[in-house]
Amino acid sequence: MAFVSKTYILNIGGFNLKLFSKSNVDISLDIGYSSFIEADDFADDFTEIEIIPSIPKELKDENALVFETNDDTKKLWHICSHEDGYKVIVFSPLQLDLIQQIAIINPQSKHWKIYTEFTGVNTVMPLSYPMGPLIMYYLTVANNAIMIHSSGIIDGEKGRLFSGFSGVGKSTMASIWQQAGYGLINDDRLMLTIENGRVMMYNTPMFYEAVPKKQQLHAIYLLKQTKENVITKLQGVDALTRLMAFCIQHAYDKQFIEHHLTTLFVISSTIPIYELGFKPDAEIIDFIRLHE
Amino acid sequence: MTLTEIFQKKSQFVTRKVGNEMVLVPLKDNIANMNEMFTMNEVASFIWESIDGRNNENVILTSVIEAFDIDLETAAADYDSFLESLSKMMA
Repeated sequence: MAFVSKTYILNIGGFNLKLFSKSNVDISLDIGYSSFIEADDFADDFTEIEIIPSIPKELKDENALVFETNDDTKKLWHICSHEDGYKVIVFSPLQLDLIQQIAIINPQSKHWKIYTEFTGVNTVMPLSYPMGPLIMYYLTVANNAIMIHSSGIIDGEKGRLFSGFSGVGKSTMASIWQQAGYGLINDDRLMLTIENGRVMMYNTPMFYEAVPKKQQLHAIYLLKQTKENVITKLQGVDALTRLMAFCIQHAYDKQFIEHHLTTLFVISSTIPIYELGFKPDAEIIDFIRLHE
Repeated sequence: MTLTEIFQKKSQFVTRKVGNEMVLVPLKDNIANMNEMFTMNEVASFIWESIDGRNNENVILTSVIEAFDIDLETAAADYDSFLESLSKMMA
Protein backbone atom coordinates (compact mmCIF):
# COMPACT_ATOMS: atom_id res chain seq x y z
CA MET A 1 0.00 0.00 0.00
CA ALA A 2 1.31 3.48 -0.83
CA PHE A 3 0.25 7.00 0.14
CA VAL A 4 -0.54 9.63 -2.49
CA SER A 5 -0.64 13.39 -2.07
CA LYS A 6 0.46 16.61 -3.75
CA THR A 7 2.80 17.61 -0.95
CA TYR A 8 4.25 16.09 2.21
CA ILE A 9 6.08 17.07 5.33
CA LEU A 10 8.12 14.14 6.66
CA ASN A 11 9.76 14.24 10.08
CA ILE A 12 12.76 11.92 10.15
CA GLY A 13 15.22 12.01 13.01
CA GLY A 14 13.66 15.27 14.18
CA PHE A 15 14.41 16.92 10.82
CA ASN A 16 11.66 18.09 8.50
CA LEU A 17 11.61 17.31 4.80
CA LYS A 18 9.04 18.99 2.60
CA LEU A 19 8.25 17.19 -0.66
CA PHE A 20 6.36 19.19 -3.24
CA SER A 21 5.98 19.57 -6.98
CA LYS A 22 5.21 22.57 -9.16
CA SER A 23 3.56 20.14 -11.58
CA ASN A 24 0.12 18.82 -10.85
CA VAL A 25 1.51 15.39 -10.13
CA ASP A 26 0.58 12.90 -7.42
CA ILE A 27 3.50 12.07 -5.15
CA SER A 28 3.36 8.54 -3.82
CA LEU A 29 5.35 7.19 -0.87
CA ASP A 30 5.95 3.64 0.26
CA ILE A 31 4.09 2.38 3.32
CA GLY A 32 7.21 2.77 5.48
CA TYR A 33 6.94 6.55 5.30
CA SER A 34 3.27 6.71 6.30
CA SER A 35 3.80 7.21 10.04
CA PHE A 36 6.49 9.83 9.43
CA ILE A 37 4.10 12.19 7.61
CA GLU A 38 3.28 15.37 9.52
CA ALA A 39 0.51 17.90 9.00
CA ASP A 40 1.26 20.47 6.30
CA ASP A 41 1.55 23.35 8.76
CA PHE A 42 3.61 21.32 11.24
CA ALA A 43 6.97 22.76 10.38
CA ASP A 44 8.48 26.12 9.61
CA ASP A 45 12.04 24.85 9.44
CA PHE A 46 12.57 22.23 6.77
CA THR A 47 14.64 21.08 3.86
CA GLU A 48 12.46 21.20 0.79
CA ILE A 49 12.71 18.75 -2.07
CA GLU A 50 11.14 19.76 -5.34
CA ILE A 51 9.83 16.73 -7.18
CA ILE A 52 10.12 17.06 -10.94
CA PRO A 53 8.37 14.46 -13.09
CA SER A 54 10.50 12.99 -15.87
CA ILE A 55 14.28 13.04 -16.10
CA PRO A 56 15.86 15.33 -18.72
CA LYS A 57 18.26 13.53 -21.05
CA GLU A 58 21.06 16.02 -20.43
CA LEU A 59 21.00 15.19 -16.72
CA LYS A 60 21.79 11.52 -17.35
CA ASP A 61 25.45 11.92 -18.28
CA GLU A 62 28.06 10.70 -15.79
CA ASN A 63 30.95 12.91 -16.88
CA ALA A 64 31.85 14.01 -13.37
CA LEU A 65 31.49 10.64 -11.67
CA VAL A 66 33.00 10.63 -8.16
CA PHE A 67 31.58 7.43 -6.70
CA GLU A 68 29.61 4.40 -7.84
CA THR A 69 27.94 1.46 -6.18
CA ASN A 70 27.17 -1.59 -8.29
CA ASP A 71 26.61 -5.25 -7.66
CA ASP A 72 27.78 -8.14 -9.84
CA THR A 73 25.16 -7.64 -12.50
CA LYS A 74 23.83 -4.10 -12.37
CA LYS A 75 24.33 -0.49 -11.44
CA LEU A 76 22.83 0.57 -8.10
CA TRP A 77 23.59 4.27 -7.60
CA HIS A 78 26.22 6.66 -8.89
CA ILE A 79 27.31 10.06 -7.56
CA CYS A 80 28.57 12.84 -9.82
CA SER A 81 29.80 16.34 -9.07
CA HIS A 82 27.31 18.95 -10.14
CA GLU A 83 27.38 22.73 -10.25
CA ASP A 84 24.68 22.75 -7.55
CA GLY A 85 26.27 20.08 -5.33
CA TYR A 86 26.00 16.39 -6.08
CA LYS A 87 24.01 14.57 -8.72
CA VAL A 88 22.73 11.29 -7.28
CA ILE A 89 21.75 8.84 -10.01
CA VAL A 90 19.66 5.95 -8.77
CA PHE A 91 19.07 2.92 -10.98
CA SER A 92 16.05 0.67 -10.85
CA PRO A 93 16.64 -2.43 -8.68
CA LEU A 94 14.37 -4.31 -11.08
CA GLN A 95 15.35 -3.20 -14.58
CA LEU A 96 18.96 -3.22 -15.79
CA ASP A 97 20.55 0.23 -16.23
CA LEU A 98 17.20 2.05 -16.06
CA ILE A 99 17.55 5.36 -14.24
CA GLN A 100 14.83 5.55 -11.61
CA GLN A 101 15.53 9.00 -10.16
CA ILE A 102 18.18 11.69 -10.21
CA ALA A 103 18.58 13.97 -7.21
CA ILE A 104 20.47 17.24 -7.07
CA ILE A 105 21.63 17.72 -3.52
CA ASN A 106 23.80 20.18 -1.70
CA PRO A 107 23.90 19.54 2.06
CA GLN A 108 24.76 23.22 2.60
CA SER A 109 21.45 24.19 1.01
CA LYS A 110 17.86 23.52 2.06
CA HIS A 111 16.59 23.27 -1.51
CA TRP A 112 17.08 19.90 -3.15
CA LYS A 113 15.53 18.40 -6.28
CA ILE A 114 14.52 14.92 -7.34
CA TYR A 115 13.84 14.20 -11.01
CA THR A 116 11.85 11.01 -11.32
CA GLU A 117 10.09 8.97 -13.97
CA PHE A 118 6.34 8.39 -13.75
CA THR A 119 5.27 5.18 -12.04
CA GLY A 120 1.58 5.63 -12.87
CA VAL A 121 -0.62 7.81 -15.09
CA ASN A 122 0.09 10.93 -13.06
CA THR A 123 2.06 9.47 -10.19
CA VAL A 124 5.71 9.53 -9.16
CA MET A 125 7.51 7.74 -6.32
CA PRO A 126 10.51 9.97 -5.62
CA LEU A 127 11.74 8.13 -2.52
CA SER A 128 11.47 4.57 -3.78
CA TYR A 129 14.46 2.49 -2.72
CA PRO A 130 17.33 3.29 -2.63
CA MET A 131 16.66 7.02 -3.06
CA GLY A 132 14.93 7.28 0.32
CA PRO A 133 17.89 6.02 2.40
CA LEU A 134 20.27 8.18 0.29
CA ILE A 135 18.17 11.27 1.09
CA MET A 136 18.29 10.30 4.77
CA TYR A 137 22.06 10.05 4.56
CA TYR A 138 22.35 13.56 3.12
CA LEU A 139 20.00 14.74 5.84
CA THR A 140 22.51 13.51 8.43
CA VAL A 141 25.50 15.25 6.85
CA ALA A 142 23.45 18.45 6.67
CA ASN A 143 22.82 18.23 10.43
CA ASN A 144 24.36 16.99 13.70
CA ALA A 145 23.46 13.41 12.94
CA ILE A 146 24.67 10.07 11.73
CA MET A 147 23.05 6.79 10.68
CA ILE A 148 24.23 3.49 12.07
CA HIS A 149 23.43 -0.16 11.51
CA SER A 150 22.08 -1.08 14.91
CA SER A 151 19.27 -2.14 17.20
CA GLY A 152 17.86 0.23 19.79
CA ILE A 153 16.26 -0.77 23.08
CA ILE A 154 14.21 1.31 25.51
CA ASP A 155 14.60 0.43 29.19
CA GLY A 156 12.46 2.96 31.07
CA GLU A 157 14.30 6.25 30.72
CA LYS A 158 17.38 4.52 29.35
CA GLY A 159 18.22 3.95 25.72
CA ARG A 160 20.75 1.36 24.67
CA LEU A 161 22.11 0.76 21.20
CA PHE A 162 23.65 -2.46 19.92
CA SER A 163 25.77 -2.42 16.81
CA GLY A 164 28.25 -4.71 15.11
CA PHE A 165 29.07 -6.49 11.90
CA SER A 166 26.36 -8.30 9.99
CA GLY A 167 25.47 -11.60 11.63
CA VAL A 168 27.03 -10.79 15.00
CA GLY A 169 23.68 -10.81 16.80
CA LYS A 170 22.08 -7.36 16.69
CA SER A 171 18.64 -8.76 15.94
CA THR A 172 19.17 -11.59 18.43
CA MET A 173 20.03 -9.07 21.12
CA ALA A 174 16.99 -6.96 20.22
CA SER A 175 14.79 -10.03 20.35
CA ILE A 176 16.07 -11.00 23.82
CA TRP A 177 15.15 -7.57 25.22
CA GLN A 178 11.85 -7.47 23.36
CA GLN A 179 10.83 -10.88 24.70
CA ALA A 180 11.64 -9.65 28.20
CA GLY A 181 9.14 -6.81 27.70
CA TYR A 182 11.42 -3.92 26.75
CA GLY A 183 10.70 -1.49 23.92
CA LEU A 184 12.39 -1.89 20.56
CA ILE A 185 13.16 1.18 18.45
CA ASN A 186 14.41 -0.62 15.36
CA ASP A 187 16.66 -3.57 14.66
CA ASP A 188 18.31 -2.45 11.46
CA ARG A 189 19.10 1.25 10.97
CA LEU A 190 18.95 4.12 13.47
CA MET A 191 19.60 7.81 13.18
CA LEU A 192 21.58 9.38 16.05
CA THR A 193 21.30 13.10 16.61
CA ILE A 194 22.83 15.51 19.07
CA GLU A 195 20.23 17.71 20.74
CA ASN A 196 21.11 20.10 23.57
CA GLY A 197 24.09 18.03 24.63
CA ARG A 198 22.15 14.77 24.58
CA VAL A 199 22.43 11.92 22.10
CA MET A 200 19.05 10.86 20.76
CA MET A 201 18.23 7.80 18.70
CA TYR A 202 15.41 7.63 16.18
CA ASN A 203 14.07 4.89 13.96
CA THR A 204 13.92 5.71 10.26
CA PRO A 205 11.39 4.70 7.58
CA MET A 206 11.84 1.10 6.49
CA PHE A 207 10.03 -1.05 3.93
CA TYR A 208 7.36 -1.85 6.53
CA GLU A 209 5.13 0.45 8.55
CA ALA A 210 6.50 1.44 11.94
CA VAL A 211 5.61 4.17 14.40
CA PRO A 212 8.30 6.88 14.69
CA LYS A 213 10.20 6.45 17.95
CA LYS A 214 12.70 8.59 19.79
CA GLN A 215 14.76 7.86 22.88
CA GLN A 216 17.68 9.47 24.65
CA LEU A 217 20.70 7.21 24.29
CA HIS A 218 22.74 6.29 27.37
CA ALA A 219 25.13 3.62 26.16
CA ILE A 220 26.39 1.99 22.97
CA TYR A 221 27.44 -1.66 22.78
CA LEU A 222 29.57 -3.00 19.94
CA LEU A 223 28.82 -6.69 19.77
CA LYS A 224 31.03 -9.69 19.24
CA GLN A 225 30.32 -13.37 19.63
CA THR A 226 31.84 -15.07 22.66
CA LYS A 227 31.12 -18.16 24.75
CA GLU A 228 30.68 -16.11 27.92
CA ASN A 229 29.39 -12.62 28.56
CA VAL A 230 32.27 -10.15 28.65
CA ILE A 231 32.28 -6.36 28.61
CA THR A 232 35.05 -3.80 28.03
CA LYS A 233 34.66 -0.04 28.09
CA LEU A 234 36.29 1.58 25.05
CA GLN A 235 38.11 4.89 25.29
CA GLY A 236 39.32 7.76 23.09
CA VAL A 237 40.19 7.14 19.46
CA ASP A 238 39.58 3.43 19.89
CA ALA A 239 35.93 4.05 20.82
CA LEU A 240 35.45 6.58 18.01
CA THR A 241 37.03 4.55 15.22
CA ARG A 242 35.35 1.30 16.18
CA LEU A 243 31.97 2.98 16.33
CA MET A 244 32.64 4.63 12.98
CA ALA A 245 33.01 1.24 11.31
CA PHE A 246 29.29 0.60 11.75
CA CYS A 247 28.04 3.98 10.60
CA ILE A 248 26.68 4.70 7.15
CA GLN A 249 29.23 6.93 5.49
CA HIS A 250 30.11 8.12 2.02
CA ALA A 251 33.81 8.58 1.37
CA TYR A 252 33.84 10.91 -1.67
CA ASP A 253 33.61 14.19 0.20
CA LYS A 254 36.23 15.40 2.68
CA GLN A 255 33.61 17.50 4.47
CA PHE A 256 31.41 14.44 4.98
CA ILE A 257 34.29 12.60 6.66
CA GLU A 258 35.00 15.64 8.84
CA HIS A 259 31.31 15.72 9.73
CA HIS A 260 31.29 12.03 10.69
CA LEU A 261 34.43 12.36 12.80
CA THR A 262 33.08 15.43 14.60
CA THR A 263 29.65 13.89 15.23
CA LEU A 264 31.17 10.63 16.47
CA PHE A 265 33.60 12.57 18.65
CA VAL A 266 30.68 14.29 20.37
CA ILE A 267 28.77 11.02 20.73
CA SER A 268 31.76 9.11 22.10
CA SER A 269 32.51 11.98 24.48
CA THR A 270 28.92 12.11 25.73
CA ILE A 271 27.98 8.48 26.32
CA PRO A 272 29.97 5.34 27.13
CA ILE A 273 30.84 2.86 24.38
CA TYR A 274 31.44 -0.76 25.29
CA GLU A 275 32.63 -3.83 23.48
CA LEU A 276 30.26 -6.62 24.47
CA GLY A 277 30.75 -10.31 23.91
CA PHE A 278 27.60 -12.22 24.71
CA LYS A 279 25.98 -15.59 24.68
CA PRO A 280 22.46 -15.30 23.37
CA ASP A 281 20.18 -15.77 26.35
CA ALA A 282 18.27 -13.59 28.80
CA GLU A 283 21.18 -13.47 31.27
CA ILE A 284 22.73 -10.74 29.14
CA ILE A 285 20.11 -8.23 30.34
CA ASP A 286 21.19 -8.41 33.99
CA PHE A 287 24.83 -8.64 32.94
CA ILE A 288 24.59 -5.34 31.05
CA ARG A 289 22.71 -3.59 33.83
CA LEU A 290 25.25 -4.78 36.39
CA HIS A 291 28.31 -3.68 34.45
CA GLU A 292 27.39 -0.37 32.87
CA MET B 1 60.33 11.05 3.42
CA THR B 2 61.35 14.57 4.47
CA LEU B 3 59.43 16.80 6.85
CA THR B 4 58.68 19.15 3.96
CA GLU B 5 57.20 16.32 1.93
CA ILE B 6 55.11 15.19 4.90
CA PHE B 7 53.89 18.74 5.47
CA GLN B 8 52.88 19.05 1.82
CA LYS B 9 50.85 15.85 2.06
CA LYS B 10 49.05 16.74 5.31
CA SER B 11 46.12 18.17 3.36
CA GLN B 12 45.52 14.69 1.97
CA PHE B 13 44.24 13.58 5.37
CA VAL B 14 41.13 14.29 7.34
CA THR B 15 42.10 14.56 11.00
CA ARG B 16 40.25 14.69 14.27
CA LYS B 17 41.79 15.28 17.67
CA VAL B 18 40.32 13.08 20.43
CA GLY B 19 41.76 14.23 23.73
CA ASN B 20 45.52 13.96 23.21
CA GLU B 21 45.13 11.30 20.52
CA MET B 22 44.26 11.74 16.88
CA VAL B 23 42.50 9.97 14.02
CA LEU B 24 43.80 10.32 10.45
CA VAL B 25 41.77 9.31 7.44
CA PRO B 26 43.80 9.26 4.20
CA LEU B 27 42.31 10.68 1.01
CA LYS B 28 43.27 9.39 -2.41
CA ASP B 29 41.89 11.33 -5.37
CA ASN B 30 39.55 12.98 -2.82
CA ILE B 31 38.12 9.60 -1.80
CA ALA B 32 38.59 8.68 1.86
CA ASN B 33 40.13 5.29 2.48
CA MET B 34 38.35 4.20 5.63
CA ASN B 35 40.22 0.87 5.63
CA GLU B 36 43.53 2.66 6.16
CA MET B 37 42.36 4.89 8.95
CA PHE B 38 45.29 5.65 11.24
CA THR B 39 45.23 6.47 14.94
CA MET B 40 47.98 8.33 16.75
CA ASN B 41 48.89 8.31 20.40
CA GLU B 42 49.75 11.42 22.38
CA VAL B 43 53.39 11.63 21.25
CA ALA B 44 52.62 10.93 17.60
CA SER B 45 49.83 13.54 17.63
CA PHE B 46 52.25 16.06 19.08
CA ILE B 47 54.83 15.33 16.38
CA TRP B 48 52.16 15.49 13.65
CA GLU B 49 51.04 18.92 14.84
CA SER B 50 54.65 20.08 15.05
CA ILE B 51 55.22 19.33 11.38
CA ASP B 52 54.21 22.77 10.17
CA GLY B 53 56.57 23.39 7.25
CA ARG B 54 58.99 25.38 9.42
CA ASN B 55 60.09 23.20 12.35
CA ASN B 56 63.08 20.99 11.63
CA GLU B 57 63.88 17.63 13.27
CA ASN B 58 65.93 19.18 16.08
CA VAL B 59 63.17 21.64 17.00
CA ILE B 60 60.55 18.88 17.05
CA LEU B 61 62.72 16.53 19.10
CA THR B 62 63.47 19.25 21.64
CA SER B 63 59.74 20.00 21.91
CA VAL B 64 58.94 16.32 22.43
CA ILE B 65 61.59 16.02 25.17
CA GLU B 66 60.18 19.06 26.97
CA ALA B 67 56.51 18.19 26.53
CA PHE B 68 56.75 14.58 27.65
CA ASP B 69 59.72 14.78 30.01
CA ILE B 70 61.61 11.99 28.23
CA ASP B 71 65.26 11.62 27.26
CA LEU B 72 66.67 12.23 23.79
CA GLU B 73 67.08 8.53 23.03
CA THR B 74 63.42 7.76 23.76
CA ALA B 75 62.21 10.84 21.88
CA ALA B 76 64.34 9.99 18.86
CA ALA B 77 63.08 6.41 18.85
CA ASP B 78 59.44 7.59 19.00
CA TYR B 79 60.13 10.17 16.29
CA ASP B 80 61.82 7.67 13.94
CA SER B 81 59.13 5.08 14.50
CA PHE B 82 56.36 7.59 13.80
CA LEU B 83 57.99 8.97 10.66
CA GLU B 84 58.54 5.46 9.35
CA SER B 85 54.84 4.63 9.82
CA LEU B 86 53.82 7.93 8.31
CA SER B 87 56.08 7.46 5.29
CA LYS B 88 54.59 4.03 4.64
CA MET B 89 51.08 5.43 4.85
CA MET B 90 51.89 8.37 2.60
CA ALA B 91 53.76 6.31 0.02
